[in-house]
Amino acid sequence: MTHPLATRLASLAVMLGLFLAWEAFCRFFAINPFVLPKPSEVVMALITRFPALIPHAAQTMTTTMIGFLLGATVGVFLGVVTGISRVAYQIVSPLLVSLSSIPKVALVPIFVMWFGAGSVPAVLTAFISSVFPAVVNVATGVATTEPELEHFMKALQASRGEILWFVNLPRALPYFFASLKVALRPIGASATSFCWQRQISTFRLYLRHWFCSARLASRYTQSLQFSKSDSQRGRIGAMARYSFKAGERHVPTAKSHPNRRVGLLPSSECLRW
Amino acid sequence: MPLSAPVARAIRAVPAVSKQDVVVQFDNVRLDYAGKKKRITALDASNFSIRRGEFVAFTGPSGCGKSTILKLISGIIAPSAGSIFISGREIGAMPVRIGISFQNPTLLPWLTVRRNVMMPLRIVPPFKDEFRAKKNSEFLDRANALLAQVGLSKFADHYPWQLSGGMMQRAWICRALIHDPTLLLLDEPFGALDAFTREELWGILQTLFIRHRPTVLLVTHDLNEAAFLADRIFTMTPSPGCISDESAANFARPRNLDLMRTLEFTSLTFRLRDLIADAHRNDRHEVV
Repeated sequence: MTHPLATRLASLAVMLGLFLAWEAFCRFFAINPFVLPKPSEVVMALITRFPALIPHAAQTMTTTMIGFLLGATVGVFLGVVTGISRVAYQIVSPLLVSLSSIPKVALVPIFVMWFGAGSVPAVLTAFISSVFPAVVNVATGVATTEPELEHFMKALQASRGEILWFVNLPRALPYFFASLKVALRPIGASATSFCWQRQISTFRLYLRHWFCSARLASRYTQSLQFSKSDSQRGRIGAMARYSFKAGERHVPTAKSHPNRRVGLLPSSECLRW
Repeated sequence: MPLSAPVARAIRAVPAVSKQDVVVQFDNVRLDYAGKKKRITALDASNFSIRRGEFVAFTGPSGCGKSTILKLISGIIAPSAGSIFISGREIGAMPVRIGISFQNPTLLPWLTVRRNVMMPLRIVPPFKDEFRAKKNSEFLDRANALLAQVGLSKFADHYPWQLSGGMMQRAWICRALIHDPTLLLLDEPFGALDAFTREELWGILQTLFIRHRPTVLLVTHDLNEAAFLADRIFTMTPSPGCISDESAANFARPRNLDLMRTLEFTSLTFRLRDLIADAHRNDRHEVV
């Protein structure tokens, strides 16, 4: 067995190695920083823009944590309820698994539409992305408790609550923590938060990039719809255009974009907006 | 005029053999369970009684309902017909203190051995309230004493996965005994162990039995184990399981392994073997 410190150092070395390789790659091929910034540049930006980043980081942190705690609490409760009864588990688990496979980012626009841009959709997104994994995992953990453990408790004439407290819940804990790891992808919350933070220039850049790619994607879809009638194609196209135009109004024009000549998008696409 | 339910129960609560020292009594107990097409009888027409402080073994071919008997006594499943009396009362009428052990040592993996052993004290009524009320130095001593008796003192603070199979079984026996059970139910407790460890644990179990004198019901398919440990051995026939024979093993305690070389012992085990082989053969013929 290797020394635990050695293992720690090795994992640190692997991490550092990745960043070094990344840096070397960018330098060697002279990659444009808009396409892929060097880690050193990222660190520099982090330091120089630290005061500007802090409020956003705090906002993301609080909304994520609130949503996350709510989601975990509700998730554990529902998970225990479904996990305890075999029938409930069999009835509900297909629904839960299929619901949990919905990409949570897809719900962000809906939440923004319902509750407006702000903290509520961010909290909701974090809630939704943590509640389903928690329910599914806790239910699985409780439902798959070894029958011998429950028999042992029943033979001691333990009540249902005691079996739950002493056996089912501790048994489900690893599952619960695994679900938290899955749930802690704050991507959803951050997506909502940059919708909210649109007045801040740093985030405008991201938002602009988002709409650019979305618009490109909509055109791509349009061109793929050969089988649809022209009118239908036109309608879908118009809807897509309208929605993205609506979004664009909140985005600065291309002229103010510092790096407008560069990037993954064709420059003509960028400039026409 | 039909009797009201409580009166009928009160009458039934007096067992046919109303002896003070009968701990377990089965009256025509049958157990059915729903199979794929029809109901299958796992246990049929079982009648037996077990006295206080007796060590009884059940043997028989696999699937003959040996484990079912233990599940019935521990209240995990209810009989389809007939009655089970424990200490003169019908089962479920009052709580019975039961220690139970299965073939797979199901220690809780998130607790240390000592805490695992103390688990029944947190659940079983007379201890449960004390456990909550005062912090448990008395119970700790009790657990430590039991662990010392099976030679696990050094491993009290280890977790189950750090123990070998034999050590886990020893911890299991401690856990089954810590709350002074009226009944100790052992379902093939040493089935998954190698021969040497098994013989060592027979000795430990016997020592504990002599010291604590619980009533023990041992389910096993190891005839040497049954003959070495038990006072009485029930042989069972398969599908539907019923008790076909009862043999006494009147060897003086403490028994040691040399007993197994004696003629009495070997003739007993051979007798058991023949009984089970016959039952098995008959069962085969019925199927063919």
